[in-house]
Amino acid sequence: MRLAWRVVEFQVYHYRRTWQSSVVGTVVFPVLALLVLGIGVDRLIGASDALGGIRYLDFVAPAVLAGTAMQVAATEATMPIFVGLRLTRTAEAMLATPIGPSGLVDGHLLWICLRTATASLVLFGLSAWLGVFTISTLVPVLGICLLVALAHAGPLLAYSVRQDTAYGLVAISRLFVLPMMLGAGTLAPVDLMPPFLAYVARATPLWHGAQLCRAAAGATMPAWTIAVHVGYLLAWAGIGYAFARRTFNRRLGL
Amino acid sequence: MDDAATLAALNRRFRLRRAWLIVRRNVLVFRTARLALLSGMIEPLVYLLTLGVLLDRMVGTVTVSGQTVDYLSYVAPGLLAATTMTVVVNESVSNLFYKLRISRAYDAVLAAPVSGVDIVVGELGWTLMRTALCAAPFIAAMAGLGVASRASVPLLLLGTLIEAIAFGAVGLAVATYLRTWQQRDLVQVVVLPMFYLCGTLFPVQGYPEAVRALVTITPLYPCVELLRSWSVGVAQVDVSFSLAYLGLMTVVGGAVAVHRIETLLRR
Repeated sequence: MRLAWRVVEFQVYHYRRTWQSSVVGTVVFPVLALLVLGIGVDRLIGASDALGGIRYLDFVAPAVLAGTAMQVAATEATMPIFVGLRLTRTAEAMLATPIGPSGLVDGHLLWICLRTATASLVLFGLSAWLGVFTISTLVPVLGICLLVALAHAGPLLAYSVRQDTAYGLVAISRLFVLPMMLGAGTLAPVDLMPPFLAYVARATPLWHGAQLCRAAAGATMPAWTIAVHVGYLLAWAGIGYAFARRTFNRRLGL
Repeated sequence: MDDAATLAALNRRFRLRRAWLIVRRNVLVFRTARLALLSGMIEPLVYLLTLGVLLDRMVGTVTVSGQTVDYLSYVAPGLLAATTMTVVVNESVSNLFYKLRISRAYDAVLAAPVSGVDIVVGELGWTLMRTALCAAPFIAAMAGLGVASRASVPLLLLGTLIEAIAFGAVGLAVATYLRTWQQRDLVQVVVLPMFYLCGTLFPVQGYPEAVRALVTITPLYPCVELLRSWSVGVAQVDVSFSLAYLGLMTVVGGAVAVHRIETLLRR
């Protein structure tokens, strides 16, 4: 763990020079999405039967938080790995120290948690101000966001370390991340989708995260559903973590 | 014979064959990136099926210029304009930046007798090819969903190509001013708000007057107006302003790009 913090330290130094560009994807864009959907589209929809009597803002804002957690993971667990290993080779320098492949995984996950926490805090503040969350739900919502980020980060780290060109990373962001962001029961209830796609959407970790955030925002759901959502995300995070460590050690270990 | 002045004079001319070589280079490079090409075609469809079809099931109808239309008919041309902008900006800004500053491909290109005009025309030609490749499945899907009539299909394709040239020319000009990847990412600060706010998802009539005025002078707004009025007859507006705006972008952007590429590479 102490070694993983050294990776975080590197990220902080790096971030001090590059934060403007990553803030666009993980803060500016989510805030924009929240306002566009929660206010603009909310006004178009008004009261829809599909939403069961709640405002569209209350439906979509929790999903924007969960989606942003996924986005942070999809940003920080993909390109930086590829760049560090293939272009700037800073990862090679780290591997030459006691940090090693496992420390690299732990460090990136820690860093992803920090980034997720800050981005979620901004979005939580804005949506609480719009009346979506009460302040007392801050801790559970942050916890859910971290869990969503970790559920995606593990598998993405394992995928990214195997890439020899950046094309595979572009493809995963367009073919998986974007469709999930927009289609995994985030913009509209899964019941509005064709049955097959609705099952696919329910299988994504993002949908479970969005549902949990909705529960924190006051949507009523039975305790066992919440347990299933948390368990599903924990499974993705745990298996993803083990998978990432194994792949890093195989590819980069001595 | 081959003194620098002669070569420079030769290089200022435009030759279609040389521009075509620039296009050929891009085609060759992208043949190794089929996955990126394919995923670029799917991305716009994802927007159509989620922000279009899914939201349509909740929104119902929208009233624009006194005309009531179903939401999908309203939003589809807006999303076509917005996703075309994304494709073109990505192609012109990022790829030219990469070739100018990172891979330095153009240092090699300019060792041969190729002029700035050749490069700009060639890059725009390639951008048009990519746009057509991404817009065609989108327009076909629009026709399949019943929000583009048979007569409007060629018009929509024409409209996206006009948009692509205008955004492409400005994008190339912008790319020559960028020095780092981080600056390139800041281009998104301009592009993303336009994507969602220029009358793509909801009518601009809902904005406060000042915001509405600001939105109508952004470059995406004329594209949205153009494609919307050329689709299923939603909001029949006068498109001459839109066409003039996009024509101006093409001329100014293109001229700046040629001048900058010449000065950057012939110091």
